[in-house]
Amino acid sequence: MDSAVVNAAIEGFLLVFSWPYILYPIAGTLLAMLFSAAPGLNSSSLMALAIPLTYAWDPLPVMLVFGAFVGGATFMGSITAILFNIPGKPSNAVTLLDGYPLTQQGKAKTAIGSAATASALGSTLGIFILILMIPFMRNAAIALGPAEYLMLAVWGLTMLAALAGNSLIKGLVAAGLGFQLAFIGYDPRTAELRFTFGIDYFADGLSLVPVLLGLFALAEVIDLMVSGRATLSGRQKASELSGSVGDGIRSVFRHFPLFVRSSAIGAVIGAIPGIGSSVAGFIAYGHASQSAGVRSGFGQGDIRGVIAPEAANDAKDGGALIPTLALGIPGGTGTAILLGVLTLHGLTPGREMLTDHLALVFVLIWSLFLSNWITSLLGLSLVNPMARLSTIRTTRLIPIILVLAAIGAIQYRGLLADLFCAVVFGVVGYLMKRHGWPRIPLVMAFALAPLFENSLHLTLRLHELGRIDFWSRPAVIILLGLIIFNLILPAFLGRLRAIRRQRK
Amino acid sequence: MMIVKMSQKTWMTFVLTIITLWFLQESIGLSSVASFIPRVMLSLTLFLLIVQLLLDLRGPGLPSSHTTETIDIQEDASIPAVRRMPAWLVILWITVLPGVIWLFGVTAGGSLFCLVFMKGYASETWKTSLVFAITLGLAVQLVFSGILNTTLYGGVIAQVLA
Repeated sequence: MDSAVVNAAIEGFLLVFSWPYILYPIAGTLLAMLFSAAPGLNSSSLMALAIPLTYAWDPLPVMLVFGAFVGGATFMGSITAILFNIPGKPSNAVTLLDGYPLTQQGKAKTAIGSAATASALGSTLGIFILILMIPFMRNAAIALGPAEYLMLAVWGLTMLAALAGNSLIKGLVAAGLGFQLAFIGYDPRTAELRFTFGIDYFADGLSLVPVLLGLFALAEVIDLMVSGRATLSGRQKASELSGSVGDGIRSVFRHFPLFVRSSAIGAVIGAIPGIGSSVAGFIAYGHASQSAGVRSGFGQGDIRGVIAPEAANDAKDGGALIPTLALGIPGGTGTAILLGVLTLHGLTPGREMLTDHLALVFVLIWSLFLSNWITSLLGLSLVNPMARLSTIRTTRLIPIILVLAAIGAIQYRGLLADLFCAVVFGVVGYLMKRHGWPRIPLVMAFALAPLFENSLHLTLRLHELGRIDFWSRPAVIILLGLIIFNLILPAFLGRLRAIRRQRK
Repeated sequence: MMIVKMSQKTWMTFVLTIITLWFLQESIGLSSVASFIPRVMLSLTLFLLIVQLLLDLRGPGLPSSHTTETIDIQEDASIPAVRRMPAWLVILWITVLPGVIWLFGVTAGGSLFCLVFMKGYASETWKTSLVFAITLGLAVQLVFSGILNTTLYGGVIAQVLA
C-alpha cells in the first residue's frame, strides 16, 4: 500500500483517539443513537439539524462528529426491529424477519448479541475494505454503470425463490405484488402517473417504511390480539428467557464465512451510489437464505438471518464513503448531507480530497469505526434490560408498540396518510400470514423493483444508442457469473443432499 | 358446502387476482416506456395467480389457517392468556388509531388511544391505564419535542383552535 495512505491512516487514528478530540465522536454517537432509536427519525435528520451548528467549526471536529453520525445510527434501529418488529429505519427492516421470531422464542438476548457483534465486526471489515480501496477509488466508482446496477438487481431477485417458504408459486406471486406496489407513482422516465387510481397520495409512490411497519409490526400486533398470547416471548419472567448474549456472539464466529461474505456484499453495494440503504441487507439476507438451503428456518428465527443483514448494513457505511469522497457522488441521503457539509467547510471531494486532505478522510473513517464500536458495545451492555421488554404483558406493550409504529409511519415523510397506509398493510400482512402467503419476497421485490426497472430502461436505451457494450464490462460478467451460480446452487445442494441420503 | 370450503381456501387468491387485473386495466393508456415492465410483471403475476387458483380448487390443499411463518413458541402454562378477539374486531381497534391521531395529534391522540385500549381491551384498572397513557404522552413529548426538537403532528382539533 502507498506509504502516504499508511501515514495518513496513522495520523487520522491518532487524532481521533487523542484528548479532547475523542469527545466529539462519542457525543456524536450518543446523539445518533438517540435519534435512530426514536421511530421515524434517523441520522440524516440529525445531520441536517446539526449543519447550522458547525458553521464556525474547523474541518477536523466536523469530520469527527459527522463520521460518528453516519456510524452511530445504523445499529440502534435493529433493537426495535428485533424486540417489537418495528424497524428503526429501512435498512433495519431485514433484521426483523428473523430477529423478531427469535424474540418470540425467548431468544432476544441471542439475537441482540449476534446483531451487535455482526454490526461491530461488519463495520470494521467494511472500513478495512474502504482503506484498501482508497488507491483505486476513482476508477472503481466510475466503472459502475446502469448495466452493473441491473445485474445487481437481478442477482438480488434470483434469491427470491429461496425466500418463498413452502410454496414457490405463492412466494413468486408475493414478489409480483411487491413489484406492483413499487410501480405506483410517477414513472421516473416519462413522469407519467402510474397505478394511482385517482388518489393523490399515490403520486409519490409508496414508501418502504409504512409498508414495512404495516406488513410486520401492525400485522404482528393484530396476530397477538387475535391469538391472545400473554407476552411476546411466551415467558413471564426475564430469567426464563432461553438465549444468552454469549450464544449471540459465538453464533457470528460459528457462521464466520457467511459473516465475511455478507460484509463484503454490504461494502460493495454501499460503494454503488443511489442504490438505497435497504438493498444491501436484503441481498445479504437472500444470499444467506439461499446458501443455507431450502430446509433452513429462515423467516422463523434463524440466527443467520440476523447476522447477514446486520453485517451488510454496517459494512455498507464504509463503502458508501467511497463515491462520496472520491467522486462527490453521494450514495444516499446521509452521504448527500455529508457532501454538503464538506463543501461548506471548503473540502472538495475528488482528487484533492484524496491527496491534500487524506488525513481528514481518515479522521472521518476512524470516527465512523469508533462510533460503530460504541453503539455495539452499548447495545451488548444493555442486552438484559432490553430483552426484559419481551416479557412485559402484551396488553401493556401493544398500545406502546402501536403508538411508536404510528410515530414511525408519520415522521418518516411527515405525512399522516402514511399511517393510514401502514394500517392497510397491517391488515394485508395479517391476512398474508394467516393464509400462508410469505411476506418476505413481497418486501424484497418492493425494495429492489425501482433499481431493476430504472437500470433496465437505462441499459436498454444506452445499448440502442451504441453507448454500452454489455459483454465488455468485467463487473457485468462477474455479476452474471454470480447470478448463474445463484440459480444453480439450490439444485446442486439438493442433489448433494440426495446423494448423502442415499449413501446413509 | 363444497362451495363454502372452496371459497374459504381460495378467497385471498381471488382477491389478489382481481387486484392484479385492476392494475393491468390501469396500465391501459400509459406509454410503452412507462408500462412495458409493469405489464410484463403483472402478466407473470396473473399467470401464477391463475395457477395458484387451480391448485387451490384442486385437491384438499392446506387449511386456511396454515402459514409458512408459523413460529414454534413454548407457551408457559402459568401465564394467564389474555382476552382473545375475533380478527375483525381487532382490525377495528387498529383502525381507530389513525382516526384518533388525525383528530388529536400524535401526543394527545396516542395517549388517549393508550388509555381507551388499556381500559377497554385489556381491562386494566383506571389507575394503571391512566399512568401508562400519561407516561407515554410525556415520554413522546419529552423525546421528540424536548430533546430532539422535532415537530409532531398536532391534530385537526389543534389546527382549528389555532
